[in-house]
Amino acid sequence: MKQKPLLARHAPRCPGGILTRRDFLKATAASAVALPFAQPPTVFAQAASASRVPRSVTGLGLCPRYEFAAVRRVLGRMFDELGDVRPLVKGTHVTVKVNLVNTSAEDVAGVPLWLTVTVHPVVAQALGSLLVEYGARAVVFCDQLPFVSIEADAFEGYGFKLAEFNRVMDQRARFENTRNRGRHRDYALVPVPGGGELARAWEVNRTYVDTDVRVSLTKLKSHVSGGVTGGLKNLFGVPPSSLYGDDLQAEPDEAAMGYRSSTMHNCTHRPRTSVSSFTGRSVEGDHGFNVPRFIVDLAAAFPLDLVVIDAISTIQTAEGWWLGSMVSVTRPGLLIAGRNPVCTDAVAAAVMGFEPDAPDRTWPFVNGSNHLALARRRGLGENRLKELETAGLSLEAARFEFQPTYRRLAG
Amino acid sequence: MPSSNFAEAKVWRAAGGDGTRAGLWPQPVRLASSPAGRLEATGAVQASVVFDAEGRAFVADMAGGVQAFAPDGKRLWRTRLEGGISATPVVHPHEPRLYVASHAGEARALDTATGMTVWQRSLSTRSDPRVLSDLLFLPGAQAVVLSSWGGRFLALDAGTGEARFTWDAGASPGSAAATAGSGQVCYGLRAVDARGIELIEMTATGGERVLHTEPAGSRGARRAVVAAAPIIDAVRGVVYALCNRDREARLVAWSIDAGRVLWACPLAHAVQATPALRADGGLLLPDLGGGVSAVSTDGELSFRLDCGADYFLAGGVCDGDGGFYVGDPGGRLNVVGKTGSGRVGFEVERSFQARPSFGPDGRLYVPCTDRRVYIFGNASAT
Repeated sequence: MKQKPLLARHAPRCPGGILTRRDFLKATAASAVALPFAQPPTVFAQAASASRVPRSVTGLGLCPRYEFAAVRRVLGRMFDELGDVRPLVKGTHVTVKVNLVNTSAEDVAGVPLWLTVTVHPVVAQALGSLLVEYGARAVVFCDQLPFVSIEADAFEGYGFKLAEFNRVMDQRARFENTRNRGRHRDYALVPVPGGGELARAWEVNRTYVDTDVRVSLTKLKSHVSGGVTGGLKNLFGVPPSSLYGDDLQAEPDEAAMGYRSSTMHNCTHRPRTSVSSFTGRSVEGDHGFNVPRFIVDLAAAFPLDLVVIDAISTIQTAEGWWLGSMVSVTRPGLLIAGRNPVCTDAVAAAVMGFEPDAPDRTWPFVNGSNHLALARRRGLGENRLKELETAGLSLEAARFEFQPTYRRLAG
Repeated sequence: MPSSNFAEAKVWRAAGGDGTRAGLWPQPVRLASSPAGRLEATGAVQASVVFDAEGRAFVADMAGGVQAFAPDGKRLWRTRLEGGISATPVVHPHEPRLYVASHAGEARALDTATGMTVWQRSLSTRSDPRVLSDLLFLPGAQAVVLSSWGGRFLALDAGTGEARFTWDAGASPGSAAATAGSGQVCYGLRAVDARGIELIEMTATGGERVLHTEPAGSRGARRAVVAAAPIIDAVRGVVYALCNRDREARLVAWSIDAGRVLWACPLAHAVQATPALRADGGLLLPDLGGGVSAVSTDGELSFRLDCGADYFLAGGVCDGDGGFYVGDPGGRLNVVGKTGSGRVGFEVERSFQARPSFGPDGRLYVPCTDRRVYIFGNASAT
């Protein structure tokens, strides 16, 4: 597909820029002047507290079933209520990071993935169809998937059939498996503005940076380490297995497909990025400390223009089948969307019956830090409910309490 | 042995009516097409409504709210527990006590007339104390039986809340216990690593016996959904246990008198919802494939009706004519006829995730996650 030069409208889309390895090393060496790579975490905590953090309206809509016309209608109304989604995407190249997971061969007691753990393809199709209607030139749906193929067939097990998408998207849909460099010549090295708390930079598939508009399309779920899964947590799938995967040996490997447990949960291994990209401030073995901070470091490096949350049918207590019978299916029957990911996720947490500014190690962040509060302190968005605004359905009407996140056994 | 399965069913004090969990209303039901009233809760309602002999309806919700309503819908009192409530409370058969327990592991006895706390207990566990299993009153021990994610069934003294006995409840317990008759024993299900799904008998003196073990599927016992309570056909002396394995299930019929498995009926879909018993002894099972299966007393599958739902999370109830009422997560109240015909009786925009119940006057109370309980008049009620 022939495309106009990218990054023309909104460049640069990453506030830390996109650096070559040489530039990055130069900047690191001169960090005191050029980029504050070595700021201690306490600076982050204070940075945004005194100033006003970004806020945006979050849209809430009832949608009991996965019927394309109904989902599209509700989502379209929500975008209209948000006000600026049409101009945001007109004439642009849109990248949609979809919340899929590291296998498509699972289910929750026979209930399919898309009704429990991953984004339902109908929601993705409805979103894609609206983006095209609003004038998007191309829409790339991407996530890193544990398949050799980096093409559309890697998505089929999740119910994502490219032909079906293109049928409702005027042939402007594309799928990319971003588990490695993919179709691109090189990786993008994206510094974390302010230096990051656990990551100074991320090295990722260029799909996430060679774009005009970045969308996080995710499932609303509980999360054992992160408390809640929303638009922010979905970014955890951006760092590719080829550089961050558990199955790496000493070197990067374009064939790698492993998860990122040892690099970004337990933090027992460093990623195989081309530069030293982690700060070393992680706590080995403490998912509840590491995961929320990596989420914020990702959100700072890859600002989201739009978050759409599939909260029609999902699971509660934990994030996937791998946590056994702890997870259970539940049905909020909702769609949630917003322009600021912190605000949107905070409203989503409130919909689940939780306090989005809850102290660390209390529900729903019972196993660690509150990444929504960390994100606010980094100046990424507002998470305090009294400062937030909703459109469409009221928060009170939308509320649908989840069973809380599972509390890990102490010790 | 009782001559009918609904001798005590006029006042539904527990999920499924009474300790048998049978969910069987004695009379035929002619349900109105729209609700005659509704009760407002403080959160999504995922627990069945229970009643006392005075006709009070007790509603517990996911925001931790517990409320009592008069038969005319007037709210009598309201209180709140720490943590949401999805486990159906239970009412003492003779004393003015309502027992409730929450996701935060708080168990309370409340005065049914005033809502005042009689006793309160925090379940202490090393991990997560949440209570998901519907509560049971065990007459033989004068105890309230529940399970927590600490991995134990607990029998709490009904008068004081002190733990009288505990039994192993397996991994992530969510299935309620069931009992019948004088309540000297109760039955439970648990998932045990390397063994499978066990049907157990627990005695009012704290003893335990494994009656039957279904091997776990290829995914292991920890992946099996153990949420449906055993139900008891008191007339025939049979305990029915739903044992899930991977994506499928087996319905096991255990003869109390013979002390053996009578039959096991394979089901194509796993089941989370507690089954309901028909007056003829057949069983109705809403499954995670979105259908309702009927199984006869000899273990044969009579029909499976595809209701067009993605799945069923909660059980239904039967009337005296074999009609079956079950809400689905798409917001539809399904009415299934005795021969497998189906229709949508009512529809809302939020999901139904709790088992309906009949009030003492024969009206059907359908809890909904829209924070309401819909009350349907019953033209056949006497």
